[in-house]
Amino acid sequence: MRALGFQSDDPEELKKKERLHRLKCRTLSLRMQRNKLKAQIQMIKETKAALDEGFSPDSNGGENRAKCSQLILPLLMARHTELKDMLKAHHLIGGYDLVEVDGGRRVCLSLSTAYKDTCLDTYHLELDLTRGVRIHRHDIPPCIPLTSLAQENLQTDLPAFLNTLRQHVSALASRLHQVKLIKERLKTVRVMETNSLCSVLVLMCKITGDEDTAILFSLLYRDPIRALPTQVTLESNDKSLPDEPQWKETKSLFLELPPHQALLVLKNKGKIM
Amino acid sequence: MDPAVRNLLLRILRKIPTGKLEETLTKWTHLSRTQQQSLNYSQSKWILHENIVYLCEENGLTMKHVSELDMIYCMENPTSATWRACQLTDAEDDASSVELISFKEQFKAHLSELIRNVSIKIKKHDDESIWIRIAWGDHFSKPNHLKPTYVVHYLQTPYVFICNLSSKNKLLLHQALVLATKHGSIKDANLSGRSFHAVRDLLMGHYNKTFPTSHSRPLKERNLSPTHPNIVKEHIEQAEKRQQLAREAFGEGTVPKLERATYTLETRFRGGSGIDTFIDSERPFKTVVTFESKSLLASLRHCVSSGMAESPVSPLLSSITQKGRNYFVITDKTNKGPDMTTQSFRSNV
Repeated sequence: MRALGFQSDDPEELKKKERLHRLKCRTLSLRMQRNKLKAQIQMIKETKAALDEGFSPDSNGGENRAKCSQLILPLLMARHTELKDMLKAHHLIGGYDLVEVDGGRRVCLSLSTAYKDTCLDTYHLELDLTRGVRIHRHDIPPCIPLTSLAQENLQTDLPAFLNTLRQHVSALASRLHQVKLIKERLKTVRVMETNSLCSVLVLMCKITGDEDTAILFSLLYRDPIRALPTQVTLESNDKSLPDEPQWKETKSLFLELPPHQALLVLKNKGKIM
Repeated sequence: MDPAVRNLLLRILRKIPTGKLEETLTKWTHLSRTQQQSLNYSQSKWILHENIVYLCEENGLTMKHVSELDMIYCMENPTSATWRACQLTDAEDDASSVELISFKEQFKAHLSELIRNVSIKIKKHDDESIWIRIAWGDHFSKPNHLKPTYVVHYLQTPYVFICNLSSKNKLLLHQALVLATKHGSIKDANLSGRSFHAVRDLLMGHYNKTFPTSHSRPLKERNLSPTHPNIVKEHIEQAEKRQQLAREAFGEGTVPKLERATYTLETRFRGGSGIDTFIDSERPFKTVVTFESKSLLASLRHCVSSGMAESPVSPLLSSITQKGRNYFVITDKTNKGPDMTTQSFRSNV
């Protein structure tokens, strides 16, 4: 064994040598990793500098071509991420969210609705783009006059059509939500009548101090794209009540505030129960 | 009590299952609390019905009250006959501001003008729908309450659902509806079924429709059945794609329980696979194809997602949900165009 050049066969020494060898290998691999990371950092710094200077992957500046060619891939990747983030942000703020289906022949849009800070339903529309724009399918409630809106400007002006449709749908969702809030928060007020378009809302309230007198507010929403009523009428079984000036004022209150807030104001003032 | 009223009351009571009888009578509110409490629902049906009739006689109830009982039961359980859907077209400008009271008055006025001796009852349901019960008579006879027509309409939507209407009175009812809702005309929507809820949900879109979106929906329910980790599904992509197409065409989750779809073909037989006997290029080869199922849409959805039906879904099948109809007439395109082999839908007016 000594002839082959091995050192003393002391197990301790052997172990130490093995350990040393392993550690040397580990340092080598760590150095390689460090070099790789340094190169990456350098590339990102250069890309950022290039972006700040205004280079874009599309431009073909003559003298900078050498510099550019190294950076094209990272620049493209940076732009890709930027665009994806913009799309995501657009989706979050309630954009139309266009999706191509069936190889570009059909397109699906979503209309999101919200009231103040509550997100409400999202409605969808699928348009067929072969031979002019046609509505393929949708989940918009039938009380909204979709066909008449489409006849107006679906073919000629798509953004305008989407805008009006969105106004209708948002207003309907807001009105429905307001009725829901009245039913949840104001249990003493009875919703006597409403309909699927929420164009009529009849509320019955009791007056404080007088158990037998009830007052009936009829709110008419003649404008389908507004979430506030256009006309308010008061009725009561005490005939003289609607003519009193304090009650006449409440009419204007209902024209300015959404019904659930107007009712809360009246309740706080102590006029209704 | 008038024998006709008594007869009608007994018929209605026999129609209502005993389990639902108590709540229907409570909703009816024409029997007082003590009277209702005095009824023993565990007795035999015949004795129970006789007791109810006796109480009604005591209270002096008339045909009007008894028909109300029929209406209340039908509103809760509308599956006694075939419901047909109709669509109102050519809305006038103020059609969207028609409200309940004016509709009621107008409808009653118009129908009474068109035909004498008709008994109309209108009620509003909790979900904002208007239910109308019509008992038809004519110049010589009183209204027949044993075969009433029921009409359901949701204001501000163009759809009307009708059951039990004879062809004799069809035009009169249509005329009254068109005038009361301020539209130009009414046409058949080619959708019918035994379940009112299915017909209504299909037409009004009250079921889950899927649309393709690029962003994942906030709550993704995935019923991934537990599989062995060593099992690899080769065609999982295609399976998911088929499932997505099936869901887009027929809806997701519980779908309206349509029972049948009928396709009437008036096309020319073209032969193929060696069958030459029926080729006759002059006359159309009339065929009727009917699909029947307990829940047709769920079955079709399963056919597509499991690969039994070809995907993308044929427009013949997806039109059921897209257009909301279950009766189709298919004809050849018999016009000037050079392409004589395409087929087209023709709406059945």
